[in-house]
Amino acid sequence: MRLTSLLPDGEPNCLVFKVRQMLIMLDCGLGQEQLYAMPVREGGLTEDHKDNSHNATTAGSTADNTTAGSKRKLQETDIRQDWASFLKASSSQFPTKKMARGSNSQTSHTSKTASATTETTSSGPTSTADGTIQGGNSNIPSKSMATREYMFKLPDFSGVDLKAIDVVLISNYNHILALPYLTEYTDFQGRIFATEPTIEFGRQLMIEFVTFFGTSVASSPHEIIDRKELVARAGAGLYPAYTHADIKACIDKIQPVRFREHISLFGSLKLTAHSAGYCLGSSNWLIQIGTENIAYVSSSSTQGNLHPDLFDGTLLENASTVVATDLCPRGSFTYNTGVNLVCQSIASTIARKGNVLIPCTISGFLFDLLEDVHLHLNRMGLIGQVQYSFISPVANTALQYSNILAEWMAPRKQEMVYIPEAPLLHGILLDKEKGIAKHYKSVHGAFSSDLKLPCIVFGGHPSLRSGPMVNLLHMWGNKPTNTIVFIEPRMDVVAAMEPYENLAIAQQAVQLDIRLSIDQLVEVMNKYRHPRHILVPMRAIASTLPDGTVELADVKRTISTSSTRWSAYKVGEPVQLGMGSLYESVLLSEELAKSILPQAFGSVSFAPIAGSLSIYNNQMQLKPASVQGRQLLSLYTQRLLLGVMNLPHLLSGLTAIGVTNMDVSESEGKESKEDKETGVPEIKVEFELHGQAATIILREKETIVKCDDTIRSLLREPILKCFQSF
Amino acid sequence: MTIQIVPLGAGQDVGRSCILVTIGGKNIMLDCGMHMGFNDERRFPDFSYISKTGDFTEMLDCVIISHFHLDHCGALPFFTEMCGYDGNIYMTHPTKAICPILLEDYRKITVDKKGERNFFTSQDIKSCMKKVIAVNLHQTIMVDDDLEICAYYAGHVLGAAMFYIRVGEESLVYTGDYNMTPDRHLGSAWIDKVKPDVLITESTYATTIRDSKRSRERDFLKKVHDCVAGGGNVIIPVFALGRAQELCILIETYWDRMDLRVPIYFSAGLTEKANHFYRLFINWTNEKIKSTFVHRNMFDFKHIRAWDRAYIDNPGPMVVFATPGMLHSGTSLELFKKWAPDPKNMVIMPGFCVAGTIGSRVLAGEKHIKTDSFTTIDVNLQVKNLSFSAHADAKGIMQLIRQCDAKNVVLVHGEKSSMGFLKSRIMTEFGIPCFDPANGTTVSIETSHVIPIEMSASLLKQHLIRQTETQDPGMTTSSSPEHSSSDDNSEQSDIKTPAEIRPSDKVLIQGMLVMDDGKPIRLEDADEVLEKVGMANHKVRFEVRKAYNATALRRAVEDAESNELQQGSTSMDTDKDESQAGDLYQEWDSDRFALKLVHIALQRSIGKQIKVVRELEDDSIEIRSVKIRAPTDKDEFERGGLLVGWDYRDEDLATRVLSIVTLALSANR
Ligand SMILES: [Zn+2]
Repeated sequence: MRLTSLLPDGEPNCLVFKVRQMLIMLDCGLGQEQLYAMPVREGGLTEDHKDNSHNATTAGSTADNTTAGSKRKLQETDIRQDWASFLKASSSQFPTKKMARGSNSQTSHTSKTASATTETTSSGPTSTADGTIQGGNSNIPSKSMATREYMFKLPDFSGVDLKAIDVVLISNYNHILALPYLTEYTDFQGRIFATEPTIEFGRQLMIEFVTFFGTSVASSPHEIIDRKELVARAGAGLYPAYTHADIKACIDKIQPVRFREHISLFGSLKLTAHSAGYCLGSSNWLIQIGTENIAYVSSSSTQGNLHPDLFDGTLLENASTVVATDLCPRGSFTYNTGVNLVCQSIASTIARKGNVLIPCTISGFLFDLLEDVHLHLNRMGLIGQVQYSFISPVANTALQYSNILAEWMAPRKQEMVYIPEAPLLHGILLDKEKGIAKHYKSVHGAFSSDLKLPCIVFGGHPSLRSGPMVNLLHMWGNKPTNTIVFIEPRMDVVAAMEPYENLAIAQQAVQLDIRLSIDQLVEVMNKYRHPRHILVPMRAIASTLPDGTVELADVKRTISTSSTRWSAYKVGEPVQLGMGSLYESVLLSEELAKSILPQAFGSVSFAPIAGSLSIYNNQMQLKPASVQGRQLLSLYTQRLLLGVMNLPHLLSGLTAIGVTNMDVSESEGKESKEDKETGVPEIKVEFELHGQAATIILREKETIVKCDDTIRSLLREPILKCFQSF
Repeated sequence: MTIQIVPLGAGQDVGRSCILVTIGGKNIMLDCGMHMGFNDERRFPDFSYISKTGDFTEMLDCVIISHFHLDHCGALPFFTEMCGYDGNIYMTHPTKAICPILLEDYRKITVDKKGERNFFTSQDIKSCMKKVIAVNLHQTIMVDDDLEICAYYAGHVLGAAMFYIRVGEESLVYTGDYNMTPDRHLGSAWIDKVKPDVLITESTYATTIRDSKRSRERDFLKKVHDCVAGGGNVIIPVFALGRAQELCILIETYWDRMDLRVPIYFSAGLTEKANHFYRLFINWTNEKIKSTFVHRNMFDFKHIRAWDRAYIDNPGPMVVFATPGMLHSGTSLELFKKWAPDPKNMVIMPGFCVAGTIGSRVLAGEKHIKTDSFTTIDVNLQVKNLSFSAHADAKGIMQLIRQCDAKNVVLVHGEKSSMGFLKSRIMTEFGIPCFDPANGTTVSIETSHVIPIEMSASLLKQHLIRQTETQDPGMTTSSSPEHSSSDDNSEQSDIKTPAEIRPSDKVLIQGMLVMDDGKPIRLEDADEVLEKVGMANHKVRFEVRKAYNATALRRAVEDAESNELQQGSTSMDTDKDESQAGDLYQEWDSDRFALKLVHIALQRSIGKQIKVVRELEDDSIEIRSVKIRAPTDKDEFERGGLLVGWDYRDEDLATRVLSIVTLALSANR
């Protein structure tokens, strides 16, 4: 067994797992860090360009417009030109981002008040103001700069024989974005499994990705991307986003599964998705190969009060190896510790008639957050004044679809459909008559005409490099009464806000993280029978001890024990996981079982068996061989004799078949010249039977019979009688 | 092992489905329905069959409900609340949601309208439903350590499921009601090839092969349209959920297209709620509805309004969907009574009505129906029978048997007469046993079971390699494992996997079964096993002299040689052989020649299956431990003949080789 991670720690998952001859890809995420190094583009530029129906409602709030001109179109182009210089500045690389990131998480952790959040932008050692503006970016080819094309670095496929991948398992929508590259641009031909919600939310995320970051020039990425090059240079090359057609083709290749549905493949591989408790349809996978059980634990949550179906730990019960990924970094907000902060921040902004921007994808714990925010605003008496807007090309689909997934929800939510009632609150908020919540494809069109202030806007992209949030920051960013609230756990707030650092908008970073922390992981592992070997990402370990074992970064500083080994994996560095099980599960047919003759040796019985193995219904079965097969088998039959040769036994046996004059001689095993075998002590029995001379030589571990063919069958019996034979 | 099946209801009968199954020592109740044609104790299944003392919870391991129709779940509150069953009950989410509504509906009619007592209460229904465990499709549920169940989509009505049940290696599929053709709101039934020992299938439409869906729909719409055009009222008795939604979608689109203004009503007040269920469970409808629901929900009807009793005296024409579906009570019966005398009106009956209901008498063509001692209905209206009900027809049933690859079939939920026909058809077409037990009659089915064992992966690899080496290229099993060579040298457990065996391939395996109490049975390499347990494997080597007649052999060979010269070909195809052939007459070495003959014979007979090695130096032949050689020492030479030696472990191979040698050396070939 061997595990290789193709994306760095902290990024979405993409791992390749090899067990025996089976090659399994665990998730196929796209690195998100790279987005921060990219230029800003306004959302929906490509499609909605023609839609000029921006009307006057926005004018009041676009505070950074020096002149509130009446010709919207002209003004827009002006803004864009301003923006162009801005884009240049923002396209620079952030060399010290890592450090900034570290300090960011601490800052956000300690900043409990809205005023403290302004530190977020100013804190950290990064000062990008002067130097980087002229700098340009070394990471992005100049060609793409010219066309302002987004180019992406893929997971490092270079060391993987993509054609040989048997199966891809997707755990949830966060780890699926690179899948169309794999299915549409390489010679991959394996099978892909994911739960139904994962497929649908994954599809939605891909559509957002293409809408926000897709190619704005007419050429198809298929013309640009050379398959061979993609595979060979996947580690280093940069590629444009895929297309809508690719998404459809890719999604069609995924086979939907449900939790605890057993999938059997190739006769010895069994796959089962178990609820991970992280989002609708989020799954951990039990991989059973032969008699070996491997658990792939991806984004999981044991947080009890959320809407997704609960974490199902039963996959750990028999798992000998666990691959744990996507853990929550230390010092993150849990949902419970952060939710009040988010609610308060929103409420105080609404109270001062400010607007709230929440950059996020419309999925996951957002559905819980919506309920909590709504209840909070209701308690504060602010509900009558507020409007929720969801802006995303998939907003409507995401909101409606989530509400028909009761079967994938926690029992508390499942109960709702028996009333019958929409299980998620936004189903009620979106009710047309009430009009509390609305959804839009983009900021253009109906959004501005519908707009009632104050407003809470949910939408992408969390990186703030494209999508409606770019326009909205532009509109509302200069007013300090407005607030932008960061809730997405995977994003880098400092890096995301880098292009907007002069904006006056209040910032609140409360990145809610419901994923398992390393402490929770240790707890979960202790709860179920200890797996023999648990693999965790590098950042989950505190140190590597001199003997090569690791010390985990949990509170107890857990280390490996004789029964459980912990180790860490790192991007691009394969980890060997030992031999694995050496057994396959096979079904023995009753017919064949009846024909065997077991012999007992103490408590154990043995029975030689021969049959024909075939795969039937994805399960290996051993049955009696055909006539032809039996003939062939007889050529290979191996007979066994157990025991020690006993001379008196042999002699009496020979007497019984009519041998009379036996000449028994003993030799001491002197050093022989030619034949070294005679070097051992031996007994020689010579006699005649039916006029044919015969010799039997007895040695400690072997017996040699020399005779004529005609009497062979007669001699066999007395010899075999001395042993236990199979 | 035996699987036992006893129908308590639905044995050679439609209605009151309740089947008791014993599989692998587990007792399972499949459905717990009621018979709507009866008002007495025949309404419910005879549970005393399970236990006379009423300890149902101990007797049964679980109850499985296939769908929300009352003939499948109607007795459940009675069984749990009044008979005291307290064990596990499984059904799908939509069934769990809708079932209590129908039960409550029925309870109201029975108790509130007919004034019956000794019937379950609203509270009974609620506490019964609390005990229900909802399941998802395809999800494997472990009822206990050994009993596993899994639901499959059955079409028929929202949430209808077929259940796969497995204990150890014995398995069973119960279909409930299903349909194999998608309709306007539901998909068609589907199941994996689970190869159950027994398939228990409904057979409502056992003898019907229904005509095409399209023409039936056209027919239905035309009848309705003609009737209302002539000023008549149309009553369509339906159940609130299921067929009703399909007909609503059908009529709604027709009204839209034809721009009709005639009002359509839906009775029972359930419409809104029922449609809300459909909206929440949209995942259980068909692909088309699912894929469009975000933009247009099929269950938001424009033309169909809620029925109000006051409308009964409206002049008409109108179309009314009224519950219940078999005219046995409620609005549908009320409307029927009112409209039956007028020949302008029309009733569109569902395809099937339970015997004893008014609906069934209408279907039978009775003109005067006595509902009680005071009332007789004169049936003058047009009666149209439309078998819209989503059951599988004979073709569909055959299709399902094929799809799951059943080993035995048990027919239930059908009329005895029509089941007989289907039964013989199944037996002749599939050559598998088929049963149609009556209520209370047990069917026992013997199952041949398989034993799960663990097979050493290295043993498998060894045999795969052997098969690959010895077989014809066309028969070889393994694809070239490209990714094994380059990037996996470091891996010790580099074992060929069954991924390389194609389903059609067969690999011959030999080994030793090791049975140790409490441990899985393992299939290992025999030598390794014995070595592991420290048992001495004694080696016995035989060496026999194989005499032959050298003169006769030489003569025979000379004849053959001359034949070959005439034909201009030689049977010995290597250069070496030919060059030696020239020397043959000068230095005749009979042993060498005999060895050569033996070698050819062995190559021909077993060379394809096993490796025959020929030592160039002395012409001796080796096949595994079997060695055929010419005499070497003086003693041997004097006796004459060839020497054949082998280890006893290859005794079977040696026996075969000896017989080939005998044949090869006999002069008169
Ligand atoms: Zn039914």
